[in-house]
Amino acid sequence: MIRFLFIASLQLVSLPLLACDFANGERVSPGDGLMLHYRIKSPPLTVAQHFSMQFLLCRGESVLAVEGFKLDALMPAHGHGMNYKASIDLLDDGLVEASGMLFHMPGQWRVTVNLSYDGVARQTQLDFEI
Amino acid sequence: MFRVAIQLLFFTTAALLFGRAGAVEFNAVERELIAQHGPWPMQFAGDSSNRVSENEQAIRLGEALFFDHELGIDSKFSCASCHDPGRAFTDGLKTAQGRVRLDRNTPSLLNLKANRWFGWGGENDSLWAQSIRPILAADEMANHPDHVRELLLSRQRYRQFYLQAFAAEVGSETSEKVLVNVGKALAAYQETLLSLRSSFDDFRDALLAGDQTAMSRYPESAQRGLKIFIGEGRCNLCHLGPRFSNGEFGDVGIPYFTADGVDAGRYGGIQQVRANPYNLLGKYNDGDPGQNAVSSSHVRQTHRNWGEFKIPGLRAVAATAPYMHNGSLPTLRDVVLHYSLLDEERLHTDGEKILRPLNLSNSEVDDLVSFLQSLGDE
Repeated sequence: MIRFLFIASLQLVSLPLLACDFANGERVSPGDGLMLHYRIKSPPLTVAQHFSMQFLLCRGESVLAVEGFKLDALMPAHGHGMNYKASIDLLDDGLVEASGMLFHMPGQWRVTVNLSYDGVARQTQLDFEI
Repeated sequence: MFRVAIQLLFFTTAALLFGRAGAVEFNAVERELIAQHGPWPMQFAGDSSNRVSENEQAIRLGEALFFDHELGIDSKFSCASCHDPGRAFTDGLKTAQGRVRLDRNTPSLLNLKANRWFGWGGENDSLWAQSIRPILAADEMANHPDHVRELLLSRQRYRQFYLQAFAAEVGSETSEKVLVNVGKALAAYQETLLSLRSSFDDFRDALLAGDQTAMSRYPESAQRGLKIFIGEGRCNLCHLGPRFSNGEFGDVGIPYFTADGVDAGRYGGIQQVRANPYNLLGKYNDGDPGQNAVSSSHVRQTHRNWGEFKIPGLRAVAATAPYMHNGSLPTLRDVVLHYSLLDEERLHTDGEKILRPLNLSNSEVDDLVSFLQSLGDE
């Protein structure tokens, strides 16, 4: 019975419209059996040019409904972040889009994502070399 | 005799293998970095926020207005009064001379097309809005929209250009609309001001093509300076791409105190661009703000913006002395020495951590200066 309720609750927050896979995308696990798929919306990623990112939070083959999503980036070696604040759109099909990003220097950038789903908060980091 | 012959053979073989004696070698990574500074001229997209960008009649109107002293309230100043074409569109002064001595150095107008921000603090997000600024500034041209409209009405040539460019009679437009369109015509003209190919561009292209003969025409001192620029100097972290600028802002340890207080730099620039009725989020943007106002809608203001100023492009830099936002460094050699002897105490504690004194030798300073000079017009 408990197992049935757990599966039922997962189905309530699952959004089966999108496949849990991005063409030319990457993925990282924020733990708890989750997988965050991500990609640059219009590659290639170019220094000093605005870009957008897309995200899908998945468990197995199911897209989960993200309730909260924040993102920021910094250059660990330089001690500075972006000069722009990304705007976040949570779309109906579970897709999350972060726009207005810009890496203004070549080198390593670390994107930190804070997200929440079903009342649970998770943080994960993505590294980019540009 | 035999020993001398062997030595000659050795040096001849070495010269053949390495191009020529004393030539600077660039490895694959360095070649890739050098390639990123071209090609030049590059193709710049027109300004979608300005419907007369690249319009021939608007360019002619803008050029005529640029040199017209009547655009100043009392006919004392034209745009060219400070942006002298004979000085790479600067004035050669430490800080600009308007109705009073101003706090900032007059920047060159070369290669402004398709920039993201304009002004040392990025006070404007379009070239046309930046062109309106000095027309209205009390310490500069001190004009008023009504007077600008009257100027255009008073000249047959201006009325004709205006009609052809904007498909409207000056007389049927409000003063503010005419002012904005004057800014757009001035911008259309300034977009045409691009620096010519330089000896660096010839070297870059020859390097990529493996043309040793063409490469040999580039001074060895400039080659050594280039190696420092993209190597231990790490100058290319900010001065990147064909324009030699990432279009952003940095605190490089130049004091920002003025005679009257402080120059807020980028911090004040963000405040001004947000408050400006002519910014790209306003009604005079001719394009889609979702496409061309991304920087304006996402720019972030932080404490570290204090002391940050625009990272200038370096093309034709030898013709734009003196240097820095306050014109405090008279020569290119002074600029290189500034970075060589950088006073880290002057940098923000939360600022850029890539800056540290380069401690260059005299010959390395000469080499970097030689490289920077090679970015000038041929």
